[in-house]
Amino acid sequence: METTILSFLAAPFAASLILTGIHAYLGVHVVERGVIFVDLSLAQIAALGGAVALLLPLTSADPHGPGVYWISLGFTFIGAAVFSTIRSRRARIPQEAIIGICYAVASAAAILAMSKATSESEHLKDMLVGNILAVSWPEVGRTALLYGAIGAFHYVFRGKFLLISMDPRRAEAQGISIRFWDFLFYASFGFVVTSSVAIAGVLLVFCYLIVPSVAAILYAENIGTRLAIGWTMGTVVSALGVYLSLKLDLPTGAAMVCTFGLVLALMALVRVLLPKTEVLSRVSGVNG
Amino acid sequence: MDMTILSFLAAPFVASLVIAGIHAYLGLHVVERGVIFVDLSLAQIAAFGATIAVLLPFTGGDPQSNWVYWISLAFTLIGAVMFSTIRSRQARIPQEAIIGITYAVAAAATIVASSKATSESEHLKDMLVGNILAVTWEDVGRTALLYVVIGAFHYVYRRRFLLISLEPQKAEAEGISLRLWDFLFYASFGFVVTRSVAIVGVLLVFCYLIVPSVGAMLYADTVGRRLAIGWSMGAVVSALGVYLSLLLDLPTGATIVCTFGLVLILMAALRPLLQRATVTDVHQLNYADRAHGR
Repeated sequence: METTILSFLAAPFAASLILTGIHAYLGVHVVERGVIFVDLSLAQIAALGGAVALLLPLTSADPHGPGVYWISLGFTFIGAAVFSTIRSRRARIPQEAIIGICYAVASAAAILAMSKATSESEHLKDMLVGNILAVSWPEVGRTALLYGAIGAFHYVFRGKFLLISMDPRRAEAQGISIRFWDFLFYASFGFVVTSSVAIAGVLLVFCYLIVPSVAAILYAENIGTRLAIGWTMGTVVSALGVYLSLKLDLPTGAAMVCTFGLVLALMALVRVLLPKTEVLSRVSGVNG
Repeated sequence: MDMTILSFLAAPFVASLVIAGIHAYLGLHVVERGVIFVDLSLAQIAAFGATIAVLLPFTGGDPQSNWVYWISLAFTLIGAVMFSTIRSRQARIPQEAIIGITYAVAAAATIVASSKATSESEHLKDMLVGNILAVTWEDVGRTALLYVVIGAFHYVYRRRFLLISLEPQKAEAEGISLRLWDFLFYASFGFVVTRSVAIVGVLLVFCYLIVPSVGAMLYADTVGRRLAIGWSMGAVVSALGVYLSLLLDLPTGATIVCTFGLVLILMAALRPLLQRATVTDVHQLNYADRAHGR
């Protein structure tokens, strides 16, 4: 490909690597914890926060400004707090219904907020599938810094975080405060999702989170191996998705989501057709 | 209000009553069966099917044509079959993940498909919140006919349908074939959702399905009372939502969704004042257990 096109793709590709890196990891937790739709709703709430923030004079309608990020983060934290409250209570209404209704209402509210802003229609597509081709190097830098910090935090405390997600009973037995570490998990999750949604949109963030992890579960039990598979898949799909979107002249974020789906279906098919090869799990050793 | 505005609103309002009617009933089953996100995904698959259909040359690009409906319905039924297959199997991947990924991919695929059509941006909003103000009396008539037929079918066999949703073990004990009646339920559900999504969009269909039923669960335990509350709520919210959208100059479908949310919060907030808590509160699922297949 021509060098100008490649250089134009450099920042988006770097962004996708960073997104893949943190989300494949967080996704392992999300799938283990079974909070898949909570995360779709939280991503949408973050997007709603962003849309509302753009309307406020103090942010001067700069979607990459700090004002939008902090307001969006505020919305995400409130959403996370609401979801963790309903989680533990006996109620007449099933939680799934609440989570689903929150998702639908947050989406509609974002549409309402955007209708009051200028150039509404492009914002709707950006909300769903982002605009990764428009990412700037400063943005890539800031995101890398934030995710690096969160990643380091999770690496240092990896024993605790993995234990509370995969085996909460054992964690409790060891005297680890589930509430506290759960809160730290969701807080770091909130920081990440808020900034990812601004770049990649609700649907693509959901995919970065869930699909690599799900694909990895098909082939491995061990966390290390799952992360390796997830990171590889995320990188390959990102590159392939961007390539296809340019080749076929399609909206990039949407093409990436579809590529995630196709590659996952392929990986599932291959898994089903292959004989029971336990090679990967054996090689990686005992389930951590 | 001005007479012209009222007459302009007549068809949309009747459409919303028709939709509220069938969806409040189906929603009761959906919430009891706990297939809430399956329905969001199915609605999105229907929207995707419709978008593809509109692009095909022989449908003539008319979103209200019969061809578009049948193609969209085919997508929905394939989706329903796929979901019922994964439902019963022990798989390494949590079902919720598959349902969520299907939803996201179907939505993105719709965006991709509509990018190849003209006037893409309005399509996206219509996909999500529909365009109920643009509904014609002809649409209302055809929709009402279809829903009355489905409704009649469900009324005649109401005992069976309610039993398999509310008490599947008892149904099995009575020798009722769960597979057959489950299939009939999802098939009729598919027919309805495909049509509704074309008028009111994915998010609003989801609301018509879930919110009245959930609101009713706050106040009643019997099917009859829940239906009554659900129907009332659906009708009131539709009217209020359309009114607010005109008053505040907001997209109608999105306003109705938000009105559903607000009214539900209100109903939930007022409940302790209007009722003492009962012992029938639902025990919440432990998601982590579910994720690990426990």
